[in-house]
Amino acid sequence: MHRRHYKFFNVILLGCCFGFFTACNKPQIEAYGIPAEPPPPEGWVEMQTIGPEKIRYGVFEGDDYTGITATVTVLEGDGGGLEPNINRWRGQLGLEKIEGADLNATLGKVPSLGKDARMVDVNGTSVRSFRESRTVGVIVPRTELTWFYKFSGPPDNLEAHKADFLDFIQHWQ
Amino acid sequence: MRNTKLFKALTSLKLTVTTLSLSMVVVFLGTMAQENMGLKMAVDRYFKSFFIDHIAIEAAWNKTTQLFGSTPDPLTPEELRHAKRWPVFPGGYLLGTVLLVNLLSAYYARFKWTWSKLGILATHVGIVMLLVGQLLTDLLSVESFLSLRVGDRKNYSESFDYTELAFVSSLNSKSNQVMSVPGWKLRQNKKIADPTLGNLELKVNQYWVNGVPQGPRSLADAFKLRQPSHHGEDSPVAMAVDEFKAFARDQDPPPRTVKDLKALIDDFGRVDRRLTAAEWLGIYQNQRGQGGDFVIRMITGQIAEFIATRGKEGPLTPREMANECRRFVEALKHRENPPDENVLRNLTSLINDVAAFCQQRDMTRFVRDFSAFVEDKKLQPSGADSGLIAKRYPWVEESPESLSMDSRNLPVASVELVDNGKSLGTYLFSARMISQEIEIGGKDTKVSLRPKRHYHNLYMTLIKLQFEKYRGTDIPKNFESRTLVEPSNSGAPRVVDIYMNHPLRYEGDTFYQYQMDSDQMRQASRSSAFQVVENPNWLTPYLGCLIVAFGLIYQFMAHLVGFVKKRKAA
Repeated sequence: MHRRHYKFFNVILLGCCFGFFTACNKPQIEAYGIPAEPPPPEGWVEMQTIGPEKIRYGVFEGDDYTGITATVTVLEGDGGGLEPNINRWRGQLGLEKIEGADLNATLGKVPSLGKDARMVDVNGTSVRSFRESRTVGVIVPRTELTWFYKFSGPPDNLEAHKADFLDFIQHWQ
Repeated sequence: MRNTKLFKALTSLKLTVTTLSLSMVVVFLGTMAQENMGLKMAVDRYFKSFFIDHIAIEAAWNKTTQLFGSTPDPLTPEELRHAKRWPVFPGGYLLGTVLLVNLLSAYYARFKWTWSKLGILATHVGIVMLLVGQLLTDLLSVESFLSLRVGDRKNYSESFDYTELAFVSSLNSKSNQVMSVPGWKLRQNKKIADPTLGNLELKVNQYWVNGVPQGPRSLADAFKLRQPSHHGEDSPVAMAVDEFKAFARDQDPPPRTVKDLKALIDDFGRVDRRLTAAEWLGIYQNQRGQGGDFVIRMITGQIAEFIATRGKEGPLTPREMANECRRFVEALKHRENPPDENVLRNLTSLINDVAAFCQQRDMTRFVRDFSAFVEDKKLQPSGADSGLIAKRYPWVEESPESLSMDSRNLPVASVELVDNGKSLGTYLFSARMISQEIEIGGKDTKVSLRPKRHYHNLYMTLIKLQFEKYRGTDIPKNFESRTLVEPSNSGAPRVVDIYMNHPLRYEGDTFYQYQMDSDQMRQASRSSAFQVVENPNWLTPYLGCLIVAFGLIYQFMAHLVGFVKKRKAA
């Protein structure tokens, strides 16, 4: 066969081999970098979420669970509104509903999360566990969504971890 | 060479017709086979292969004969995947290659350049582009899914077909390192060592393609859901399950074998549940009347008085206490001055409620049924001894492998991790569970078995999901997702609406709104799914079609102009 003809068949053979070998395009062992999410404060352990929660952490001191949970839930629009949600949290601690000026008086601001972010800090008796409990909740409306950060647990333990919570929610998305 | 037999065969029109005919047969058989094999396997074995094996043909044949009234048994996933296979029919790649070679050879043999043949040349170039383009798309494109609930923010999509054992550790404050070991390698149940993994070696003990890790408490929950009598959290089954879970939680050491578990269930049945009559009635008052209901107090008082007259204050087993209550009902009926019929009916109903309440604490039936339930599960020991999942879930319940596109296999793997020759323990990983933190090479590493992730240079947040149905039906009409797209590196975030025929294109990735069926819609009413396609070759089919269209129009016009000229001349 002429040399040129060999070339022609070689090209075809090469094409077939390319097709054959690259057909096995299963994923392989690989390593790559990804952007890091801000790590949670020390002692925060991820737990199984409940209902619409996006993420839930339990706060531990060493191996001991402090009884504190931190959750974030994101809802569409205003998520039902500021007042009903604050009153829902109050209801969980056996506190009565408040509205208007009384409600505004209980709300604090969180400048680092924008001018619309509101914080509530309430103490009461949990209607589920019948134990003294405290809830620090932050509500942040952002791009047609509302973010609900909730930090709750025994009042004494919670105070020691509150600063971690307020620091972390600035990065917690 | 042009005169050799081989070359003549390669350039013949017969070969073209034969190849195209066989392609039609392959398309027909592949379509038939996909019901039994699932879409992915059918595409792989019919179209993305050089030869079709006899098992794949059998799957297609079974479906074809069904059309004529036959009812053959479908092939099992085990047979489809693992039975010995013999190539019996040319596959898509072979037919495509032959067609390409045939076309190129014919050009090599016969082509002579003239302007009048430009159209034919262009048409054939377009066809070659389509053939090669399809091969490149097969090889280079990556499809995945991005599923978001309202408010979720992700920078990755997940493969529908592939899983990975991912090791995620911190590189610095801004980035993490991911080491990914594909699920198909774990499935081979071998030792895995690779330069990419550094000093880490994996010894796979067992890999379940689809499975559920099970422990005493998860089994109790599964048992509760299976019971037809399970209605609410205060039903007898629910209460028994809760009590068993609390009992199992306190066991130290926890059961490791199924035999241990059965012994645990038997021990639970043997727990002394005897209480005095006063204690039984006190619990009842607290549960039913919160201690303050006058009728409840009155009736429990009468029962206590009756039991005291019989000298049976206790301690009483649940069954004995229930029987005492029933005796009281009989005594009421046979009094010398029985109460009025309506009063008697109400009293009977209340006392029977007390009896039923006490009877609930009798675990004989629960123990029997739960033992049988565990026996039916055919649990396999996980073989893992380290990590939270292995501790909570000592067994794996194997589920049948799914080949359907509508459901996903959720694998479980029992893997020994060896770092620098030192065993770190055998861990259980499951695609149903969150990651486990393990110290590997001095670094805290999150390890999880999960669908293979494809990371993108953006963060997407689902703001709103809107779906419409055709009026009066469950048939979806339109899905529309409002998303916030934030570029990873720089650039301003923007709100993007994604809907049918209006995908988001971003740095080579295309995000299509995935159309869910009505069942999926009901299950995930507030979440949206996007099909993400990364195809560097996406322009080739468009170009191929344009060139074919140009060739055909040119050729047609050339003939038309020639014909018109001839007519004018005549």
